[in-house]
Amino acid sequence: MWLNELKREGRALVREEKFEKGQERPEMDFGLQLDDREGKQAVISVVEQLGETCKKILILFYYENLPMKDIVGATNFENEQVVRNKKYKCLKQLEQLLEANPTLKETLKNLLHG
Amino acid sequence: MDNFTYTDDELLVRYIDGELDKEAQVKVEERLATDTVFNNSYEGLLISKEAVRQYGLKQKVSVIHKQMMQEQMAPVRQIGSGKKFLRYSLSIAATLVLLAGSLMLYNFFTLSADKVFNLKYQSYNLATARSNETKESHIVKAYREKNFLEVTKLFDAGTDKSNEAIFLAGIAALEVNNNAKAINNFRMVLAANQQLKQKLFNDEAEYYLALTYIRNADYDFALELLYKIRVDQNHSYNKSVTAKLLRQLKMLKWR
Repeated sequence: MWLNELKREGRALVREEKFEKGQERPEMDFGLQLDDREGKQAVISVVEQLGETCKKILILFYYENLPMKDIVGATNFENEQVVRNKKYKCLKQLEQLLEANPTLKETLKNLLHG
Repeated sequence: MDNFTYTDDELLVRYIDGELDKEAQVKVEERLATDTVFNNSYEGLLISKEAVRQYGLKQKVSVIHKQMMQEQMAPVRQIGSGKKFLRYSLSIAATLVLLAGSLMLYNFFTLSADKVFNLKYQSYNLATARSNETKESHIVKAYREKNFLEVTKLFDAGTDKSNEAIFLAGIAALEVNNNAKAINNFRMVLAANQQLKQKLFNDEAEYYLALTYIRNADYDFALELLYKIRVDQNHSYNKSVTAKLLRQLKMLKWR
């Protein structure tokens, strides 16, 4: 039982470390977070409108900061250029979706500029 | 900058992604400072990128939260009474094995030639004289009085070289910690018996010689004699040679 408890605590520690690391990302300034529930939900609902591939590419590139060659490996695309083109289209699509949601766009704009 | 022609948006995305060379970057920045439409497009793309970051963060927090909840909700495994009994039995058995092992190790490391000798050695007692019919020798008298130095002195100076005198002088040497002299005397008794085909003080000499060998750390000689005594059911000291004694000697020899 104590062994299981130790393992559980170990996992919790790893998880916390992972979380801490996530927080330490230079891009992830927690001062620039959506702190209201509505705003968070709005972001989710807008991004969720993108296809799975789009979400994956954008998250891997802009959130996980993976290089293009790694994203090629993580997706079924032929080469980096194809992924780059796809990413551009996805970002444009997201931009259009945000255009349709001016409140959210304004919130994000405020976050962006502190 | 490469030779491809990009749309404004493509150019801005490459600028945001840090893929432009220095010269192209400067050009974009100059244009951003002056061209409002270009600047608005840039702003729109930056906001989209920010939306992706916020979404990624939310997803990550959600995954971690889910994982944490799963761990907290994990059912505690119930152990059946049979398994519980088995577990306790194994714990007790392991403890006993550990204790026995520790005891064996303690015995092994604290065992010494002197310890084994002292456990087995008892002063040799002469039979009580029943009458004055037989006149006792000076050596025997001195031995009865436990005057071991006098026994040695009388033996060395005197002419009494009977097996009894040799043996008692051997015991006296043993009592004053003179192993070499004791060994010599006991062997003299055995040699005389072998030569004269008699058994006078033979069993006594064998047993005390074995004990003297132990104290002298001559374990091989001691073991040889003790095995001989142990297999001889009629030997006077047969019962004194126990399996424990032989085991202890083997341990000493091995160590």
